[in-house]
Amino acid sequence: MAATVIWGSVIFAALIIAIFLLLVARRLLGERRMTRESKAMLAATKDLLLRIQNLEPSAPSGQSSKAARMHAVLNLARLLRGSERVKLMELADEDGLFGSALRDLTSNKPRQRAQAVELLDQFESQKCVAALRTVMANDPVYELRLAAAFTLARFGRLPSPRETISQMSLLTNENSRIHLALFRALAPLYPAQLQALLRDPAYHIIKASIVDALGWSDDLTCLAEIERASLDADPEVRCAALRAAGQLGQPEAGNWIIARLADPNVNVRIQAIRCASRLSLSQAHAQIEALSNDPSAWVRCRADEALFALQPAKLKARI
Amino acid sequence: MTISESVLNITAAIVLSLFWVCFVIVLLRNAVSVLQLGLAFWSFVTRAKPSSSNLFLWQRYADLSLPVSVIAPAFNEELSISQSVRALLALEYPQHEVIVVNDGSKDRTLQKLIDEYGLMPIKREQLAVLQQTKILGTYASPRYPNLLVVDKENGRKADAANAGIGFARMPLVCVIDADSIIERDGLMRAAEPFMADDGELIAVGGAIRIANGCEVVRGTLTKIGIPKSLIPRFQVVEYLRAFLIARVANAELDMLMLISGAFGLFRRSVVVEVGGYRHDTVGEDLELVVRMHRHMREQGRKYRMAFVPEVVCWTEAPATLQGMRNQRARWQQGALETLQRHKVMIGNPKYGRIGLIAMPQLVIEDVLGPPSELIGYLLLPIAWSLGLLSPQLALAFLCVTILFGTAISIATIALEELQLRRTPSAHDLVRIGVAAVLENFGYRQANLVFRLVGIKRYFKGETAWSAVPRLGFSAK
Repeated sequence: MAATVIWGSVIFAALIIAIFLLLVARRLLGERRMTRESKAMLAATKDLLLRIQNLEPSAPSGQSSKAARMHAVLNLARLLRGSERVKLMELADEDGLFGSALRDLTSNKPRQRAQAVELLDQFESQKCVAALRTVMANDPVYELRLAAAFTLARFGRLPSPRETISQMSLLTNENSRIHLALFRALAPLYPAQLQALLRDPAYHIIKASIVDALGWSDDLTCLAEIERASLDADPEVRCAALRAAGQLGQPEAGNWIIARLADPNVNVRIQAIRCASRLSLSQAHAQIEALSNDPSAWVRCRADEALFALQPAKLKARI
Repeated sequence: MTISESVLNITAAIVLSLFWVCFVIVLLRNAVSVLQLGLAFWSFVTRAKPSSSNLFLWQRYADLSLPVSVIAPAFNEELSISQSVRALLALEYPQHEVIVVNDGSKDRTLQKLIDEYGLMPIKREQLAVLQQTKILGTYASPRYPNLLVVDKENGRKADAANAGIGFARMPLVCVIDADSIIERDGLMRAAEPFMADDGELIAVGGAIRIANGCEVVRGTLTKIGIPKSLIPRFQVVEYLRAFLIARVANAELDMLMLISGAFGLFRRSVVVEVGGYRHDTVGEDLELVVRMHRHMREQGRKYRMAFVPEVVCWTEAPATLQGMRNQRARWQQGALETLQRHKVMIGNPKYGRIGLIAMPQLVIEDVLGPPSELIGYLLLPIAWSLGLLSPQLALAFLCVTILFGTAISIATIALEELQLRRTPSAHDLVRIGVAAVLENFGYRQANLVFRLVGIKRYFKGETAWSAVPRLGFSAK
C-alpha cells in the first residue's frame, strides 16, 4: 500500500507540475508575442480605417494576420458609430473574420458555441444576426439561446414578441429579471404587437411583464393601456403599470398614479410612491406625507425617501 | 516476556496505531481535495462566463437589479475610513446605499466621516433590531443621499453588522470588512446570480484575494502585485486554494458552507429571519451560513447559495507570524464553536447533503485533520528511530502530506491561470508556484500549530477577539 501511495503521489505531482510549467511557458510566449501583435494590430487598424474611407490600404489586408485584423475590428467597433460602423462590419464580413465563429455555432461542444456567441456579440452584420437568430431558436442549451437573445436585444434585432416568447419559453409567470429585460428590449421594436398581446387571453399569465415592458416603448399611445392595467385585479400588474408610467415619464398620468397611493396592496403603494417621486408629482406631496405613517415600515421608508427627493429641504428641517 | 517488554510492546502498538489513524485521516483529506479539484475544474469548464451582453442589459435596465445595502462596520479606522467610504460610494452598481457602522471607535472615525461628507444627525427608523448594544445616533449627508452612518456603542463586528442590517432598506445586504477593497464592478458580479434567480437564491459568496503587494489608491485597487515577503505570499496560495477549489466545488454541489466575512451578499429578509450574526462566537461568518442552511432545511423551504469565482474583493493578510497565529486560531475556534452549536446536523439525513456530506467534511477538515497531521509529523521520527516504521511508510506519509499538498496548490494556480488569469505576469506565476512548494516546509506545520492554539482556546471557552495587526497598503 505504501508503495502505491508513494507512486500515486509522485505521478500526480509530476503531472500537475508539468501542466503548470506548460502554462508558465505559454504565458511567457504570450507576453513576448504581445509586442509583435500590437504592431500588427496597429497596421491592421490603419488599413481598415483607409478602407472605411474607401481609400486603398497601404498593404493588402491579407498581409496582417487574421487575429490582428480581428483585434483591430473589435477595437474600432467600440469607437465607430453610424455608417462608418456599418462599413466596418461589411469589411469584417468581406474578410471572413468571423467565419470560424459562425462555424463554431454548430459545434457539438456547448462551450465552443458559447465562445462563438460571445465573439459574434461584437459584430452586427446581417450574417451574424441570422446566425444568432438560428441559435436563439434552435440551440439545445437554454443559456446559449438566452445569450444569443441578449446579443440580438443589444443590436435591436430580436424577432417578433410571439416568436421571442415561444423560443425563450417566456410563457410562464416565473420569469426572472433577465427575462423581464428581454420583454423590455422588445418594447421599442414592437409596441403595437405587445399591446395586442395584452388583449390575447393566451398571454394573460405574462401580463405584468408586458405592461412593465410598455414603459420602455417610448410610445405614448401605450399610456392608455398602462392606465387600464393600473386597475387590474392582480397587484403585480398594477405594480408593473406604475413602473411603466414612471419610465415613460409623462406627468399627465399623475391622477391615476396618485389614486394608487391609496391602494390596499403594500407593494402597489410602494411603486406608486416611487413613480410619483420619479415624475416629481408635487401634487402627490400631501398623500405621500400621509404615507409616512403607513402601517407598513417599507411604505414609510419609501415615503420618507420620496419626500426627501421631492423636497430635499425637508431633511434639513428635521435635523 | 518481562513486564517491561510487554509495556514496550503495548507502547509500540499504540504509537503505530496512532500513526496509522493519522495517516488514514490525511489520506481522507487528500481524497476530498482531489474530488474538490475535479469538481472545481468541471465547474469552470462548464460555467457560462459573464457576457458583455449581460452588462449591457444591466446598464440599460438598471432598475431590474436588486438594490443592495453595503454594510461596513468600522472600529478605529480614522486613517482610512474616508477613502474606504469614497470607494464604496463609487462602486459600479445601479442602486446601492452604503451604511457605515461606527462600532464605538475610540479614535476620530466618526468625526472624520462627519467632516468629510458633511453628515448631519437624522432620525431613521431601524426596521429590525438585531444588535445588542445601544444605537447612539444616525447621520445622513445631503450631498450623498445613499450614505448612512450609524454610531453605536462598541460590540463586535457581528454586532455592528447586525446594527447595519437592521437599518438596511434594500432587499440585498452586502456585509464587508471596513478594510475590504471591493473591485469596482465586484458588487455587480456578485449580484449577477440574482438577476437569473427564481426566488430561491438567498446568498452569494465571491472570491477574495490578498491585497498585500498590490497598489491601492484612495481605497481602490489600481495595480495587482505579488507580496514581497513570504508569509503573505504563502497566503496568496492558500486563498487561491480555498476560493478556487474548495468554495467552487462545494457550491457546485449546493453545499457552500462559508461566505467570508470580508465580502458576502445575502437576501436581507432571510438574514433578519434567522436573527443576524451571532454575538457569542468568533466565527460568526461560518456560523451564519450554517444556521441559514439549518433554518431553511428545517422549514422545508427551497433555497440556494451561490459562489462567484471571479475576484470581487481584496483583503489585507497578516504579514507576521503573530498576526497569522491570531487569525488562524480564531478561525479554528470559530469552526469548532459552529460545529458544537449545530452538532445535531452532523450525519443527520434530515439536513440532506448538508448533514450527510458538508458537515462531516467540516469535521474532517477542522476537527480531525489538523491534529492528525501534526501528530503524524511528531510520531514519524519517533516511530522511525524506534524501528517501528518502515522507511517506505515514513516516505509515504511525507508524500501524502508535503508532495500531495504541493501538487494540489500548484494545480490551483494552474486552474487560475487557465480560467481567470489575474496573476500579472509569467514571472509572478513562477513566484507563486515557488511559494506553493516552500509553504510545505515550515509554514504548513506552523499553521497546524496555530490551529491547535484555536482548539485549546475553544476548550478553555475563551471569548476574546484576537486582533490581527495590519500594515496598510502601498500607494503611489
